[in-house]
Parts: sequence; C-alpha cells; structure tokens
Amino acid sequence: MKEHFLPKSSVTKQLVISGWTIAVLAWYFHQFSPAFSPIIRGLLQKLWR
Amino acid sequence: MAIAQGLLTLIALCGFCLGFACFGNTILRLLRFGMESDAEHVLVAVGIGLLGTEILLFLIQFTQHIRLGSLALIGLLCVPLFSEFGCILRRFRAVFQLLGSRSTGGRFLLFVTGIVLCVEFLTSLAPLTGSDAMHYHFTVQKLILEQGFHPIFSNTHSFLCGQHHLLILLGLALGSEKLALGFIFLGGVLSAAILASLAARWASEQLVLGITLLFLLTPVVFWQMSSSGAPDIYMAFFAGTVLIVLYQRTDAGTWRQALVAGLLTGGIAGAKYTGCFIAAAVAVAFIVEFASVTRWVIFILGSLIGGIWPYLRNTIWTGNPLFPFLSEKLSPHLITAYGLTTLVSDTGAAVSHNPAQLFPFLFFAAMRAKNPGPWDFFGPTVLALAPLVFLAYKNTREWRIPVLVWFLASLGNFFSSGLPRFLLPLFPVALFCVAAGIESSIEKDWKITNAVSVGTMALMILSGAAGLAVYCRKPVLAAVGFTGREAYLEDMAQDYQVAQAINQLLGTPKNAGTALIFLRHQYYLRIRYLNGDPGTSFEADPERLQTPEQWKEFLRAKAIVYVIRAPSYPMVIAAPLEELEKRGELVRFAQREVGNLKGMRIEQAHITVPVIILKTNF
Repeated sequence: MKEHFLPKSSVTKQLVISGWTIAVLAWYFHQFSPAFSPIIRGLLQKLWR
Repeated sequence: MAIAQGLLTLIALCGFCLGFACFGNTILRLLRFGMESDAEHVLVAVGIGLLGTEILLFLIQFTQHIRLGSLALIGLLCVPLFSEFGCILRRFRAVFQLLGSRSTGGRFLLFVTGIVLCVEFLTSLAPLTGSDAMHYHFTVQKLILEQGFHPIFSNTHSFLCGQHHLLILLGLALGSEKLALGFIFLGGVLSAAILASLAARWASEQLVLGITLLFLLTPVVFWQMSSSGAPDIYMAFFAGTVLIVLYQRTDAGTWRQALVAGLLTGGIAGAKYTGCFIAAAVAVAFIVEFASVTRWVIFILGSLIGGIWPYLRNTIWTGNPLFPFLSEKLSPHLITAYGLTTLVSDTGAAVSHNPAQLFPFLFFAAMRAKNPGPWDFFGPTVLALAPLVFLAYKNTREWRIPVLVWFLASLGNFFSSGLPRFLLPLFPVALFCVAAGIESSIEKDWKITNAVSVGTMALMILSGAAGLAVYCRKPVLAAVGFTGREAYLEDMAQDYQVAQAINQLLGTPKNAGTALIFLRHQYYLRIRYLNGDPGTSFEADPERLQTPEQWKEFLRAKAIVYVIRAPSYPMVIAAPLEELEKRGELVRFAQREVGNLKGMRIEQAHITVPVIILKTNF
C-alpha cells in the first residue's frame, strides 16, 4: 500500500529514496554551515595554536 | 592523582549502577515482573532502582540532614546488593557473553564504541564548565547542601530542577563533584544501552552497534552526557525503558506491566516540565494499545509515584506545581513579571513557532540559526532516512507505540518551546525506528539504498567523531591532570575569575556579610550572596525598585553589606544603583581586573572585566 507512493520499479524506488537522502544532507549542511563555520573555524584555530 | 580520582569515580559509578539494579530487581521480584531478555531485565531493574533511590533522596531532603541521609541511603542500597547480587551478576554475565560473541566487524564497532565512551567519560570528569550547570543544575544542589532544603527565589531556574537533579545532589553530598558529573555520564551510557537493546529487536548486530555509535557521537548527546552538567539525558533512558516494558509479551496488558511502565514514565515526567509531553504521549499510546481503563489508571498511578515529587515540592513551597509557570493565576505574589518574562524567553516558550519549521523539527533536523551549538545538533540522519522508516512501518503494536510517542511528544514540545534540544529523550526512539528502516532495506536487498543509508551513517559517525575530538581536547587534558584545575576553569568557565576575585576579596571573616551579586554563573562563589539580577531572580523586582530609597530599603531588609558589579548593573535597575554610588551611599570597597569569557564558551572570546565591590554606607 505504502509503496504505491513510489514508482513500481525497484531501482527507481531506490533512486528516489537515495535522492531524498542526499538532498536532505545537502540542504542540512548548506543551511547550517554559515552558522557553524565561525565556531568550527575558531576551534580549529585554537587547536592549531 | 587525577587519573586515580577518575578510576575511583568509575568504580563508584559501577557500584551505584549495580546497587540500582539490585534495588530495582528486588522491587520487580516483589511485583513478580520480569523481562524476557537478560539485557532488558537489567536495564529495567536499573531504571526502577534509580527511581526508588531518587524518591528516597527526595524524602531525605526534608530531614535537612542530606549528607548523613545520603550515607544511610548507600547503606540501604547495600541490603538488596547482597540479596540480589547473584541474580543480577548472572544476568550481567549473560549480557557480556553476548557482547563477546561478535563478528569481526561487530568487534571493531564495539572497540570503537568503547574508545568513544572512554573519551566521553574523561570529558565528563573535567571540572564543571557548563553554563546552565553553573547557573542552576549544580548551583541549586550546592545551595541546598549549604543552606538547607528551602525555596530559592533568588534563582528563577531553581524550581525547574527535577528528580534526576537528586543524583547531582547525591554526588555533591558525598563530597564529589566528579561523582555528580559521573552520574550524568552514566545516564548517557544507559541511554545508549537502551537504544542498542531496542534496535536489537529489529536490526542486525552491526547495524545495532552502528546506530549506537552514531547516537554516542551525535553532538547534542556527547555534549549532554559529558560537559553540560545537566541530567536531562536520563529522560532518554526512561523513554526507551518504557518502550521495552510495553513490548513485554508475557505480562502484556496486566496490572504489573501497567504499574512498571507507569513508574518508568514518571521518571520522564519528573525530570523536567517538557517531560510531561512525553509522559502524556506514552499515556495516550498506552490507552490506545491496551484499551483498558483499569490498567490505564494503574499506569497513571505508577507515573504519579514515579514522577510527582518535583511537582509536589513546588506545590508545598508555592501552591503551584508548575511554578513559576502559570503563576499569573496560581501564585502571582511570588514572582516578578520581569523574571518570569526572561525565564519564558529562555525556555523558548515566548517564541512564536513557524509551522514551516515543524517538519524538520519532528525529524530532529531543526536548529536555531541565531544561537547554534552542539546542544541543538542532532544531525540530518533521521530526516534523511525518514522514507525508509515510512516504508518499514507496519500496523503493529511494536511500531505504533514508538511512532505515536515520538510524534505526539514532538508536537507538544514544538508548540510549547520549540527548542530542538528538548527532543533529546525521543532521539533513541527515532534512531530505533531508523535502524528498523535500514534493516528493512537490507532485507529487500536494495543495494543503492543500503549504500546511501550506510554511507549517511558513516558520514555522521565520522563528522561526530571529528566534532568530539575537537570538543573534548581541553576537558580530557584537564581530566587526566595535564592542565591544572585553575588554568582550565580560567580558560573555559564563564565568570570563574570573577567569582574567584569575589571569593578572595570577601572570603575572609573580616569581610563577612551578604553580598548582592548580578552574576549568572554562581557555582564557584564561596561567600554568602543574594542574586539581584531581575532577569534570573524573583527577589529583585524592577517595578518595585525604581528609586534609590526603595533600593536602600531592600538592601537593609535583606541585610546586604556589599554590592558587586562586574562590570555594570543589569540595565533595568542600573539608574537607582548608580545614583546611590553618586550619593556616596554605595562606596568603593575593592576593585580587581580579571579575565572572562564573552558570550558562549564555545566561541572562546576572552575579555578583561573589572570586578567592583561596593559597600553600603547608610
């Protein structure tokens, strides 16, 4: 029943799910990298010193 | 010396864990309730024993002999330790035998998990630097030990302390800050164990270990169990333990199961106010699944026994179980509007919630962009792998309960506070569902999806490990003694040098007298003080303290001898106090320049601030 939301072909189903996963990862890191990068940069600089 | 102290703390924690398990086993034996697997039984016994210990500790507070009572409690824990030791040890041995019989990949993951736990343990042993911990998690327990079990209106957050704060109290009462911090670490270990136990129901060995490792390397988790100094992580343990009890088949639908599940749910509700949403979600899941009003009433009674205590304390003290919330109606004379507004904004309750944020929030992918930090970072794993959870979902009790609890409680938290970190108790539940989703994909032999989902887990594990390595470096060096305690605290603890300067200038018998302070981080203060910051204290009401005369009256009534600013007064009360200085009714007594951290400690922005001590002259 639930799989009716997805294409019938197993490979296409997998591509849709994997596409979602990769899109979420890209969205998440893109959205939050500006907020986190100053902190990470600061910590790495401290570590380097 | 530091390493020896760390080892002693570890031994003490193992002893307490064994004591909780034996105490819990005694209660479970009396109820004639047992779990099907050894690991699950041990975890449920630890949960019940922990709750029993906390209830006894709560009652001990009323005697005002907390240190003596804590020693008596240890003696009491030793009684079931002798009677149940054999049974519990046999079950522990069975669990360790299970851990030993792993594949090569499983052993590797187990080895890495062990290293991560060691690093997190050492991080947790570093001196206390958590901002909220130095404001109230630890400070309130320290004040209770020093001044007795009374309401502390000069700390608005003191009423938010829940049942698991009693473990901090126990550690401090036994004279060990490390033990108190170790109890919080123990909560993290128990939460990881409950996640592994849940995931093992549906997922293969390597996936179970992988998802457990991912949990331990999630920034919000390693921050919470190591350096936060807050015991919230215990809610995650209790949320998982309740699920395990509700999954039990032998006693399904019996009053025993309802009572044990209720007791453990009390462990969530009694932890903090937002825990009530999770407890309510469990109560809804219980009535939906078991459809018995009698059993549900027993469940609710169990929840009350397990978690009513902080609410009872607040009712006794203020007539309002949820104090200071709902105070406009229940206890208006005990709060200040300014203090309450500041507290509400601190807990996120004042923020309007954008419905567009709901979806990422439900899947642990929300973050406050204005104030980022490890305390909000669950990572994108749950949202990224949500389609697999959706496809694996079956209309069975085993699926309905976790999904109902997860979504109902998340909705409650979203609309009440919207702070992502309050989802921590639900994180093991969500990861358990994610593990089931990945396992379902493996069973279908979906090679592309398997590669992407395992790759996602690996990416998050590696980035979490990198984050932990950066985050834990300084605390670990302090914990093993390479960095001295003073040097570490001066570098990492906000307001530490200010507190030390105050201690040195006013800590002699010659300079005795209560000081009015406006410092957020009060844990390291060793003088008699009253917090006068209207944002964090109900004692100082800016509406009633608008003129120098009103302040003079207040200072006299509270027997204040010194007023300390570092560097300035809170803006809302600055004018009348500055006027008192101009008039010479507050005269400079001492001054010192010290270093301090500006903003969040993670940003490591060091500044110099003057600590100015003024003496009353009227």
